[in-house]
Amino acid sequence: MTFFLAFTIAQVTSSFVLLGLMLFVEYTKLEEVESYFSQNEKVLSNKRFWRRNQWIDRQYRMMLMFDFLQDSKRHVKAGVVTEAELASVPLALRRWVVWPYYFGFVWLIALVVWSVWRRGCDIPIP
Amino acid sequence: MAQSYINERTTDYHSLKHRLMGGDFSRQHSDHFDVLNYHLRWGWVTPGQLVIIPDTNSVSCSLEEAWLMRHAEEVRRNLELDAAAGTALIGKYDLLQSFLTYGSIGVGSATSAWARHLHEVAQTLEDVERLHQRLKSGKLDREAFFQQRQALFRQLDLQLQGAARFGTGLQGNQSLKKVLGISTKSYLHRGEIAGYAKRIREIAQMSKVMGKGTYVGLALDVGVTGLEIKEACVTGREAQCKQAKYVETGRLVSGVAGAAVGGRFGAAFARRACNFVLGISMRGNGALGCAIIGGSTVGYEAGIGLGNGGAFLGGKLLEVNGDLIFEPEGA
Repeated sequence: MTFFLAFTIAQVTSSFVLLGLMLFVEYTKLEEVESYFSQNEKVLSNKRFWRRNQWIDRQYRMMLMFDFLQDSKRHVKAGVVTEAELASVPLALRRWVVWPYYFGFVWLIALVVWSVWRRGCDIPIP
Repeated sequence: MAQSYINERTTDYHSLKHRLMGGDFSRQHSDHFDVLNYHLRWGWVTPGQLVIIPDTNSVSCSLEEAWLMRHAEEVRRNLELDAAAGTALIGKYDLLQSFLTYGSIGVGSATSAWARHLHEVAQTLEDVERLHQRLKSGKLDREAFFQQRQALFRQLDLQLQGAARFGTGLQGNQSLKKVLGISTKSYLHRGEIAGYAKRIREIAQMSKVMGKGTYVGLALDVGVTGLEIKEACVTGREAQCKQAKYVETGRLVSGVAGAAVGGRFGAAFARRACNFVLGISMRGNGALGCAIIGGSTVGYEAGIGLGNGGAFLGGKLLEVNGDLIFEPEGA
């Protein structure tokens, strides 16, 4: 088995794993993490906007949580969240929110590598 | 060796026969052609039908011709079930496929997100209209009316910053009051804001249409797979037809997953990039525009990229005696 084939299998398989992971986090952890920002104006308006509880609503609500937890300093500086609110989120929950996005960004980079590799080596696609 | 030909446009049987067999052919060759093409309706031959051109050096039926006849009959039966399909099949593959690419779901999910934004805009506009109605009915005094309307305009201003006006029909940098054509005096005089109801309806309609984006995207992706498989199978090539099923199914499944994952992370990445690089406010709606543009672009590209990956893996599948075998070397 060539390395390219192994890479392709890993890339395709990981997309399903990631999709499953994101859906799991969005459907089981979102309410919990949002409860730590129950008084936050930005979170409340975001929840009002994405209120229909469909997959796309949860996706965009989770994205805001990721923004808060991953880039805390800039959001505190902009005055949209307080340090106390951020500090109240348990570390394990914070990891559930942040790590799937990190994996997702790595997945995107890997997809770019795969595409460049395929075109560079002129590997035919049926 | 016999050859097959797919008829491109409706034509009569005899002129088709003359065109394919050349001017001078013997009576025996003519009968041979008629036997092989027994499946074709006498009179008009419709687009998409498989026409068998016999070997000019022989007048006896070969195994290959029998195989082609079986498939031609199958094609005829399928085309009879859906008369329009034949016309759509011929010559439109490339056109359709250029529209229906495997990234459609990535774009579709982004349009669904934009629909929410338009829905919010429409709601604010309805609030403005309700405010005018309350003023007219005397339930609200002028001072409170102007205060509340000012607040709604501020909200609308935030909702319609920059690219966020797309799809609302509210273009230009003029004041919202002017763009919307709102005049308290004319409202009180005529009982309606000129063109306002129409504008709300238009935005609501746009929101409704875009809200179906994900489903439309998914339908397009499934549709293009069907087209690819049909294209391979209608020409009567069994090996290509079987392979197309695995290749195109792999492309569809991976493409949809790739677009869904890519759209999700592309949106997150674009939001962050807009905040960080362009300095877009974390309070306004600008980040939503970034997320949608990023989500649709990355979703589209990831759908196509991973779709190719799925097709590559699908091409490694072989069917041996009804069992699926993964053949890494493609032998």
